[in-house]
Amino acid sequence: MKVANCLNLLCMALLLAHQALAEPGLRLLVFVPTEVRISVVEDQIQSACPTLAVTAFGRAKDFHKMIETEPPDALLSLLPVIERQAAFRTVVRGIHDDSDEEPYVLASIDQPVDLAELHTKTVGVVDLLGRKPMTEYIVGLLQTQLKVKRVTKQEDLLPLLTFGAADAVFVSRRTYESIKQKSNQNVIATPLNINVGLVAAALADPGQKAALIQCVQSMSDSLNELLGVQAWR
Amino acid sequence: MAIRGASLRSTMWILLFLAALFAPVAVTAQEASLLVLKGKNAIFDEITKGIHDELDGEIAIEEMLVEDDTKVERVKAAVQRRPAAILLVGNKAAYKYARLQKEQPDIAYPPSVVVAALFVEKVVPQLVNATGVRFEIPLVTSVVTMRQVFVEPVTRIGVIHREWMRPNIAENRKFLAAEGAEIVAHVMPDDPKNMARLLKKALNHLAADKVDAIWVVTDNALLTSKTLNSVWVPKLKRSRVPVLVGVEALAESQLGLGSVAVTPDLYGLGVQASSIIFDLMDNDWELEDTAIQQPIAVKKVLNKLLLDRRDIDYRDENLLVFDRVIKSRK
Repeated sequence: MKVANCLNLLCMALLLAHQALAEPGLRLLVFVPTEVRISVVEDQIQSACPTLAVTAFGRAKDFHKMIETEPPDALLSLLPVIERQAAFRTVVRGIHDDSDEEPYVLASIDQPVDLAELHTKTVGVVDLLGRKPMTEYIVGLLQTQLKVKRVTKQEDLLPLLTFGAADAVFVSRRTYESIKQKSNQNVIATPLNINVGLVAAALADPGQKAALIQCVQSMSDSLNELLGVQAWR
Repeated sequence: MAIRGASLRSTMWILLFLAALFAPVAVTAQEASLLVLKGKNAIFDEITKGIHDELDGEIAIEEMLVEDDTKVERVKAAVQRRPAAILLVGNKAAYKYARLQKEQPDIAYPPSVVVAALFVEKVVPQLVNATGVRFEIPLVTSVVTMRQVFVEPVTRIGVIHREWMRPNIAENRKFLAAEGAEIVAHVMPDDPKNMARLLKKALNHLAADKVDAIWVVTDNALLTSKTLNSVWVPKLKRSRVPVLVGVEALAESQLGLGSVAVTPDLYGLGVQASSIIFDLMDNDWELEDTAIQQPIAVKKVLNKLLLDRRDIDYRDENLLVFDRVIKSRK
């Protein structure tokens, strides 16, 4: 009897494995700049979403290149990134403090940024979109022509300030707090009246919404925190 | 009618002449090119990947391998194809180009950017119209990283360096001071006869100085196989403070030396060099700022096995910020 049960279980497992191989889930590409190494982000999302094929990117360039060469079914990224992907529709948004956006500041060392002089400044940002679109995006948000210095990783923002390669960095208040915690320098925030969208998920075919929503809803609190959100809606 | 036809033909000839006259100017402006002179090394390939990812589609890129036996004349021929800028990747390429400039001072040299050259501050002054990005990671970057992970404070960092590195150490002190940290330095002569003995002595002094971490600078004269085997490893293998190295291989478990390695992010270095090329592009290929830049992006490696063996406390949850965590002997 025990042997028969084991055989049944084995058959079921084989059947499930076969189904999983025959019907691969949605292909989800992820690009969310964090301080954590990208393989960790990928592993955690993959664990939360076992039916999806998850690939995470640490650099904007690689992410955009992959969307072009092998268009995926779904994207998980910051809203400004998703909004520029015409073939994708946002289906679920990350929420923090009951909002799907967060405030941004200019972080600098010792002195706040004189906003009237912003056109003379070099502002560092984590590259989300590539050189020209990112520069246009930042110039549009700050409503002044200025020099934009892009870095590939969030952790590179503090060195930009330390070595004087940028006068300020454009970051979410959350990222500013993290830089401040990491550094003993006098890092100051100049508030701006600018909010930027948090992480969201989008689909090429909104008919597959259920699987993607289930995926983000399965994310643990710690993974959500890593992505900069508290919940999804 | 015949006169009209002749007049039309003359006008067309004049127009063709004018087109021919101005066409080369238009093509030159449109087809600005970047000459990349680089040594043969996987490290340089990763750097040029970053450069291509940033600059492809923006500017034509011509790559040329520069090895020991590359004739200066070949480099000269490439320069005479009038690139808008030159990127020099590695010491060999930079020194070969410096030799060309020395031997042929009358050629008009476009702006050049040196990357992946050890101690770039020695190379750049030998070049006309040049700047560069340092390859060595400033200590402050490593200290901020170490503070994220180590439980004990990282404030006093011990280092042994040769005399010629004084300006470099002074620059590092300046950046460190901003982060509330300091360097405790022991200076060696530039060309000592008894290197191993002096090193042992200096390491004994560092132990007495009660430093919070030891920084092993990547200096070929201090880090020979002889000094590694007879001094560095035997002296530091039981170090109760983190040992910071600038080369990933020195943090491998088999060697048993570095517990943390902070090295250049090679792709990021390519991106940073490209950013200088973009600045040049926006500034009509005039190099305004020749100050050497500090490297921004780094790769971080931590040897957990060595830290455990040496009873150095760390915050487990913050190990995720490291690009690689070594947990085994291999």
